[in-house]
Amino acid sequence: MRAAFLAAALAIAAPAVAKPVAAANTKAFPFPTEVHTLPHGLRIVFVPYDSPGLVAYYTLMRVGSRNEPEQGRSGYAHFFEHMMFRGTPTHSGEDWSQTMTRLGLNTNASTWNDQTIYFLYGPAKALPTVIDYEADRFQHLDYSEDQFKTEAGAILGEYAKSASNPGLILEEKIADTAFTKHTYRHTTIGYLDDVKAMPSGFAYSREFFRRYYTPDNATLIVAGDFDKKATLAHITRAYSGWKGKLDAAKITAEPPQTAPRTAHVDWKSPTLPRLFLGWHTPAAGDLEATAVQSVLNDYLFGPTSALHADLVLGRQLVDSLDGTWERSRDPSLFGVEAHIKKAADIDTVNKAVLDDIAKLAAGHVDTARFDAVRSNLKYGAILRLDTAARVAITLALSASPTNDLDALNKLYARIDRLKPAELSAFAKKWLTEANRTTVTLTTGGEK
Amino acid sequence: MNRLLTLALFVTLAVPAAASTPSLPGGAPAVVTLPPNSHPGVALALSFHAGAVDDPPGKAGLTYLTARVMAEGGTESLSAKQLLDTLFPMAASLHARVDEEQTTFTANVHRDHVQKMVAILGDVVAHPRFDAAEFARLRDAAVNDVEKRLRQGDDENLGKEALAELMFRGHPYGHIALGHVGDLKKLTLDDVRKQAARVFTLDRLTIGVAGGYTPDVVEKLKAAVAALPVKGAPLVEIALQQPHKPRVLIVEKQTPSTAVSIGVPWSVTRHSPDWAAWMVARSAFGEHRQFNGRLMQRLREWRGLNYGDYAYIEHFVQEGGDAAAAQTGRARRQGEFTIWLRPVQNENALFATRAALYELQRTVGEEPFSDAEVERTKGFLDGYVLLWAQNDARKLGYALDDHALGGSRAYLDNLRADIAKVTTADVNRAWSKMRTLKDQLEIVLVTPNAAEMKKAILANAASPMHYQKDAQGHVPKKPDALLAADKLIEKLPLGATTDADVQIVPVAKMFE
Repeated sequence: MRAAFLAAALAIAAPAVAKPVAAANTKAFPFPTEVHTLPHGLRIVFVPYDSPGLVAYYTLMRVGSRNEPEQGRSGYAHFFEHMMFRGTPTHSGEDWSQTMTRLGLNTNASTWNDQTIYFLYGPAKALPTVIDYEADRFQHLDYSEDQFKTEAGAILGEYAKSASNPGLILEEKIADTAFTKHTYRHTTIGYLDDVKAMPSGFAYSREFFRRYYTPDNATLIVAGDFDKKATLAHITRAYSGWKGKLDAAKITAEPPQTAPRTAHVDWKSPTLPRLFLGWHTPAAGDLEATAVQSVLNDYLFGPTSALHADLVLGRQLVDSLDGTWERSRDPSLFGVEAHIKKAADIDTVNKAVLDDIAKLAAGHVDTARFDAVRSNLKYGAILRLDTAARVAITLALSASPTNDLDALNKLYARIDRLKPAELSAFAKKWLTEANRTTVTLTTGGEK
Repeated sequence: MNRLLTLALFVTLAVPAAASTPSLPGGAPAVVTLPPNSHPGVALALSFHAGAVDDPPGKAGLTYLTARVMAEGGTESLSAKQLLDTLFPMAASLHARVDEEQTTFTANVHRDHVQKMVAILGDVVAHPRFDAAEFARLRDAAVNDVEKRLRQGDDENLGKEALAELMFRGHPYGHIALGHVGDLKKLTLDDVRKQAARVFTLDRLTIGVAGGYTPDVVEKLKAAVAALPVKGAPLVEIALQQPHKPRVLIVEKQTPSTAVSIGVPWSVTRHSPDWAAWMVARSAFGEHRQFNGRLMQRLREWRGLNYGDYAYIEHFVQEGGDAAAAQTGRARRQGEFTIWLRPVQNENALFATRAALYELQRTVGEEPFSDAEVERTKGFLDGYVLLWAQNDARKLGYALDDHALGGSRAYLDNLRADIAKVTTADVNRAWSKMRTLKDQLEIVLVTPNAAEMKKAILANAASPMHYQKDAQGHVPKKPDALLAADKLIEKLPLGATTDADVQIVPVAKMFE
């Protein structure tokens, strides 16, 4: 019966075999991939990679803190990630954990704004068991209210481990100031009050599972040392009963910002004053804007930027200067965070950043640095892809915002064609005063 | 007994995993290479037998600052800015890692640029710029790293570093590599120059190369560092540290949660005959960022006390989010056993600390490691160890550590086979050392209300477990056996009885 079922599943899967999304080794993601989509929507991606005896098994769920529109429910995508380890009627959480342990796997998961990624990485011989156990928990997750309440304590602990760092509180303030309607308004861990209230959210957590943990919202990535045919047959069989259709809650778009916003965090203990400047910019679906931002962030704020040379190396007012931007599903923030040595210099640093952007917007682009940034992106991409796990995570993260498995190659091809003038045009359009959010953090009202 | 652990540092024994040339009496550097492959990246390393143990008295942090000025402050031919401008288009990384006994300058670069990188790396150590402006900037940065970041923005590492200084008080490891604020502020460019000449020398150097390189790279790297001084200061002797009091150090800080670090110095190292048995016991007791360890199961999974609970049998530093991250560049002759509890709510700080000690006691009492635990953990390590050395830079790091520690065996190459041979009896026999050590553990709590905490510890006051409540004030239902264990734990003596057993230090005085 099992064999017959397997044959049927394969027949269904066969027509959906996609062409490799990347073949030439000159691309940013140079490895050939093979994509299969099962009838219920689960997408399976194979990336054979030279890592003898090791395989990476990653599940990308396109759900994150972005999908938490309800009042008081911030942090649930992440909380839910924890609950995914609590077991099913067939395999208890303890069974899952002990089995994966015995096989020598590195297991964990991570949640961010737009996605949750579950990963198992370890010996290739573990793959059949991994497929069975993963298929089981994604389809049949089951946990008790007491387990749920206990896990809420671990979430509070996770918040606690970051709470001594001003970075978390600054991040909360930035999100809450720059966004008024969209769910990027809260951080992934959630507001502290919501985290504390989590033990009461059992029913909501089950609803969350129903809405988002569906096959059409999932991508399975297998990278490393494995047999494609046997793996596809096994995955097809194990996941075929996965029920449900994505039932996403509506996310309100962020209205255009029309006037500059500022906010301040007063930190209790001595710390380096911080200045954040951010602007709303287009989402990953806008390839042009994404290519520009990929280059522009390092061009303006990277280690070879004019600002770094002036503020960090030259005048030495700034301890560190870091661009903050990532590809996102919805329009998010393009920004910079400076750790400044003295609070008295915050205004000077602020002015230097704005002056530099004004210069760019007026059409002045240093073409040598423009080319250096593009070279850095190219070599950085090649050097990063040096393990099966990094191959899998790179593919998962690049595919998440637009659901396009070839997103990285498309982006880098667009970056290749980018012209310096596009940086200026972007700065002029988006890095404007009305679109700007400024947040400072200092100790004891120091300014 | 004050057994000296001084080892022959430049052993002539080959490391089987890697081609290894012993250093010559004339001061030519040792070389460790892995067979060249077709990978696009090349890993280069210059590993010196030098570290925080070489900081002169009153200059804690000098070796760290010196290495940083060398790696970031420019070379004779490239200013700091020019160095960045050169590295950046290649996406090449250049870092200095400074530990107690080892400083490693590492460079990872695409093979297209390896020749350029060899020249730069050589210049970084042999022809550093020692620019006054860069020195001033990096000294500021070093001060801020301790004064503003470690003390004020990272309670977990604050606790761990405080424990390191507590355990090794009076020992060459007695101050952290980052240094002390008061000392750092007084350091001069002249101090840095002198320290470089003392410790970054050919007789202390091992050159490492791995990845997609061509054979000429090794000779070129040797030539690039040839201008280093031939002979450095004598190596610092590392005496075996004995456990000592106080039992508890409270770092007083206004913080919403309490970071807990527990540990003891010991003689166990990678060369210990029971190392594989210790490795299995450690993993079964508290594997780093996995769920199989008893500490993780019982503190986090059963009680929801915090985010994670782990144990280590050698010095450990978490880097990035990768749980299986390699621990390389920190070869040490003196060992330590530590427990790391991620921050707990202040009301549960004492309970969590007691719970960790309770579980440790049970491993050498009512609940030794079972056959099932040992078998499961052996299976785990057999696969997991493979992840420690997945790329060329990590493999090279382990080979360099093997070389630094001496001995005849490649650590990682043999570890899985050694673990496969371990029996439950071996694990419990090795671990039985805990019968003595459990009473010698030192404890660091980063927490507010220190005086109150001290009073509670000395009075051995009960510290009941507070489970998180829902909106109706209900706590999760727990099995009777667990609640009974909670009752035992809440009164477990911490072993501190006199005023001197519990010391309080305000955070502003830590690492001053």
